[in-house]
Amino acid sequence: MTATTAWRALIADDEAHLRDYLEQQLRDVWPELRVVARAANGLEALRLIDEQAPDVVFLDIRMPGMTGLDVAARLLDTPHPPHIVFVTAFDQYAVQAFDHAAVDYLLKPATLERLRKTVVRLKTVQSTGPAPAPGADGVTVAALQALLAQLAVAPAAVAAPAPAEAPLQWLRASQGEQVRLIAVDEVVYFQSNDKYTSVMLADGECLIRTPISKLREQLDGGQFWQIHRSVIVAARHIAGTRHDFRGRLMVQLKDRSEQLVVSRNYVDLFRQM
Amino acid sequence: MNTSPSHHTAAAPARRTAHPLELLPGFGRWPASPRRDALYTVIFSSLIALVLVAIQAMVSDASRPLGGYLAVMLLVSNLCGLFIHGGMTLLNFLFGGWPQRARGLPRVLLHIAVSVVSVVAGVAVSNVLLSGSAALHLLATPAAIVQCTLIAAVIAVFMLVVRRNADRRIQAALDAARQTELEAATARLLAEARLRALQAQIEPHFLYNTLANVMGLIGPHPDQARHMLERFIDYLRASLDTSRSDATTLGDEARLLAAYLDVLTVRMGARLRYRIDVPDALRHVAIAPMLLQPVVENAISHGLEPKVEGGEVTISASLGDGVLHLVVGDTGVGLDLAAGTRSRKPGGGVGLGNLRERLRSLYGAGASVSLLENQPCGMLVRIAIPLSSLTVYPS
Repeated sequence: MTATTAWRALIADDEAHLRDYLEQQLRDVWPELRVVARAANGLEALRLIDEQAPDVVFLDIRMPGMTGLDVAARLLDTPHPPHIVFVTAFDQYAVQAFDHAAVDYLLKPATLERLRKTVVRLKTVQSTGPAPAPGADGVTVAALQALLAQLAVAPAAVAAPAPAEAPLQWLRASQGEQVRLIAVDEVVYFQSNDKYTSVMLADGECLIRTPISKLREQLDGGQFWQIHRSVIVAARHIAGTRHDFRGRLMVQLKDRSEQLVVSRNYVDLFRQM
Repeated sequence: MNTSPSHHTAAAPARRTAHPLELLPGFGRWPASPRRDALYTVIFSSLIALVLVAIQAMVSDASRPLGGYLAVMLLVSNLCGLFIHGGMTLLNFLFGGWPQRARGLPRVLLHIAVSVVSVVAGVAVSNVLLSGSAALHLLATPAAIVQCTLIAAVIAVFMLVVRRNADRRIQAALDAARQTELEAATARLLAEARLRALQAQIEPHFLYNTLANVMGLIGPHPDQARHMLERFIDYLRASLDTSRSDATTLGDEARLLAAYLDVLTVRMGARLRYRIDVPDALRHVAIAPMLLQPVVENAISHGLEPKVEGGEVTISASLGDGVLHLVVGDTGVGLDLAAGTRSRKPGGGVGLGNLRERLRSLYGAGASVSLLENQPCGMLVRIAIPLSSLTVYPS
């Protein structure tokens, strides 16, 4: 691109009025810029960037399909990534990260004055050299890489080291003609019947087809304890234990009145109580 | 695996020992301790001796001197008391507290056995002390054995009644503690709901995006800009009003949601359609403020916003079998049961746990919330509240 060629831009935002507004503002502060593509979601943005190869992309962060951050991460893997300006209404943590990484971003609604600064910055980066080879504007690319690593990797690092397969979170149980979704947090205990497994809740029960042996593998062992060949109980719903008159260990529950027998093989679970 | 299950158990108050003397008014006041129990046993045994002497005095002629008889009875009774008290303490020590925990038949048998053995031993030992006769000689007289057994049975019944009372007291203390906990939880939930309501109406993303839209519309589409601002003000006013009161009506809540969804419709365009179906007959039903708004917000932000083509939100209220049903449905992305990265996390994305707790604290155990799969896609949140726990304002 020579100095006389006009800049070409893409605007990606799922809200049409906001795309139009940004385009209108850009016309005011940067008349020679040509907006060549408008995308309503992340996937569309990626496709249009590939087709049009714009010099600069304005990426909304919260978009369906793919977030602006995801799109940026994909762009960094391409040989000639465009300049990226993030646009966001309010993302406290992201904005802090942007500041820190010196990556350009606009807060919606952006003022013309703020937008002018962005334009000046883009032109400055551009004038330092022609057609940015990979890493030519190394500062920006490196900063962006660091930022994306921070924003995208941080949540996974904070979360507990997950097992290869994440524990079961939801159960699907048919209820009449409908399918009820039950968060495993709601379950007080599971009891196996002949062909089905009863899911006992604080306010009712329903049936699922998953056998208890399969459930034991899928559930988080720290939250759900097998106390009998046919019973898995949610630890957080245990109120206490007692011995019945035959000396068997019984589990008392917080939200249900029945008591569950702990079979001999599992008594050790409660030894420290 | 968590190896310390004790974290999950409710703290039970330390088991109190119960003494038969606590049956008498006033004696339940002192906290249990080994020394108190020993003193109580002496008082209790002496009282039994007094009662037996009094009975003796009533049934027999007054000619016999009671003083000597009282001394004998005091000795016998206190010896029996000592044996029972000591026997129970010893058994508890030997069997790791099992006698304390025993319930039902084992408990009855244990108490009778200890009482009988102790009374027989007590009488036998006093015989030896008083008359020097052989201890076992006593067991040869059936009348004495019957007498001993009867007295022992009476004492055993006393002890059992007292133990049962003590168990009930412990249960009552536990129930009271649970009740206090529940009340505290209710207050906390109410405070949280208020806070949430305040946060919801100024959810920054919603606020700034709305204002950005208005700014964008002012130039090219001033009518749309005005409409959007009007509906936004309606929503702010309604949510500010309801979040400051304890109850709103279903009609007001429906108006608030319509304003909220109108604002979002301007923003999302064809990606959002909505339908609110609250029959006139139900518009005067009072419900807690900001009960439905978070559910609708979830349906938008976790159901429709992530979906490229968008979808429809439906809100309906109906009455059946004396239960008010409130259903919020969306045709959004639904739940990824494969627990992928885009799944609605329990608590985070859906927040049903919080809603369930709030419903229970507001309307009791009869209220419930369940999550269902919507057809052809998306989710349904169904709230059921018994009409009996709701107020209906006259229209």
